[in-house]
Amino acid sequence: MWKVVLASVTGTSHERTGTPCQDSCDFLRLKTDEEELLLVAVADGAGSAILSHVGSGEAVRQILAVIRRAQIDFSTVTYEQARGWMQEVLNHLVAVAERENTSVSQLACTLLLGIIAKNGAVFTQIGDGGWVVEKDGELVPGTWPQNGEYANITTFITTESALNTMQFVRVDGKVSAVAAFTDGLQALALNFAAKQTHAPFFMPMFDSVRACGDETDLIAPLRGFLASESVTSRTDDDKTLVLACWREPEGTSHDAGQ
Amino acid sequence: MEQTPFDPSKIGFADNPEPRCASLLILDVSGSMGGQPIKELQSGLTLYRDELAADTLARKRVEVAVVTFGGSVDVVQHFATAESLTPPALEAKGDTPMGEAMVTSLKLLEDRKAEYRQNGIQFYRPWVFLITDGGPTDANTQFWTDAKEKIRQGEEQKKFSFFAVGVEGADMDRLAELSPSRTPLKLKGLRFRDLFQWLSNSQQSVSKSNPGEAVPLSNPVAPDGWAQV
Repeated sequence: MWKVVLASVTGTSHERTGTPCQDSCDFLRLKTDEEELLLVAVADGAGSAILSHVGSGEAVRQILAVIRRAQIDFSTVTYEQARGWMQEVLNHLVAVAERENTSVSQLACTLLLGIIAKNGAVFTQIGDGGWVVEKDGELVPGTWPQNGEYANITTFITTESALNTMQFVRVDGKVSAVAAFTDGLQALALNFAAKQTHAPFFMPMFDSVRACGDETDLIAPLRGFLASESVTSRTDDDKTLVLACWREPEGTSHDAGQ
Repeated sequence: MEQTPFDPSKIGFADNPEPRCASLLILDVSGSMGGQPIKELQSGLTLYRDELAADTLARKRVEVAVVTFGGSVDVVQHFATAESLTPPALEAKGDTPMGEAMVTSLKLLEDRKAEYRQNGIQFYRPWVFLITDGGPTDANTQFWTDAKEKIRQGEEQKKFSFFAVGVEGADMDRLAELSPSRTPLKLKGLRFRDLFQWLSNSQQSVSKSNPGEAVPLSNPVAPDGWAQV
């Protein structure tokens, strides 16, 4: 089954100004007739939008709810379908903005979604941050951050025509581990010149997840790592990391469900 | 548990180059800048370098190039971070080939951006800063036409942010021709040091900003600012 550890931690620049953590993340195990799918959603609220912490939380909750309702069949998930889910999230944010008596741009956030199956994965995202995937013992980018021309610019789901920029990547074949992260970790986790994943960042963490008995024991250590001086001396932004590793169920290989 | 599961000393971090913020200064050193004006400009430039060098992030991220025009157009400083920047000694001489200076400078900037892209270096929107106390002596040449067109396009496509600053005696109408989208600013007296302090502060903020973050710049035309419209 998939072992999942995830955390969003407030950046030091936000602590200084008293801004809440604008990153959100969550996951869901979805049983279909065929198998158990792992759904992971991550969102990073825009620093300039006053309610973006609300926006990122709503976006994560909504996309997971939409897919659960959709009763998807992993083998046939398409770009159009994923775009439809993103549109539903955007519609929801518009409704939230009306309820909060504000404009939807105040809920601006990126949105990353992963649907991970035993024999493949689908990654889709609007904005920066990214997915990495381990397959056949090799770690490669699933998606790549969209930063536009400038380092301090990205697309949010609420940006005009944002859906046109949505990345959609299908990875076929057995996947052994995946990770998702927000832009606060980008410069630590990716090599921009080579456009590659920085394996020494992810591999030791995947090893810890694979080795653990109960993954909930790893949440506090992950938070500790994300708040450590080694990390905060390199990034002052909010940062989210989701780590998921496949482990064959012990004993009889049958009931992998719970 | 024997070991910390996420021990920072066991986790390797990618070593990416710092994102860069290019700052291009195009300075009028024509004859009329002689005396006090050029001394104040020189002093402002030194202050600018010192302020950038004193900021731990800005000194790695802000890259300054200086082009002067006075009799001729000279690239007196190629793009360099504050650490490796020696403010060039300015000398007032000759006429005011402002159009040619703009064309040369913007080419320099384009080349630098191409280098960033080639090397996978992320960057912020560059700043282009023109300071003059006169009017172009090449306004009837192709240079002037090209300069206007390149600035208009650059602003429209967000290739850079262009600021034109006129010192006492500057032809503000000509400056407005260059900068249709942002009203040229008039320096109060010879407050070059205040101008460069503002520039350094603004670039320190921008070079730290994360995606989606608005960077409010202090208003240079506020009552205590260095400029007026």
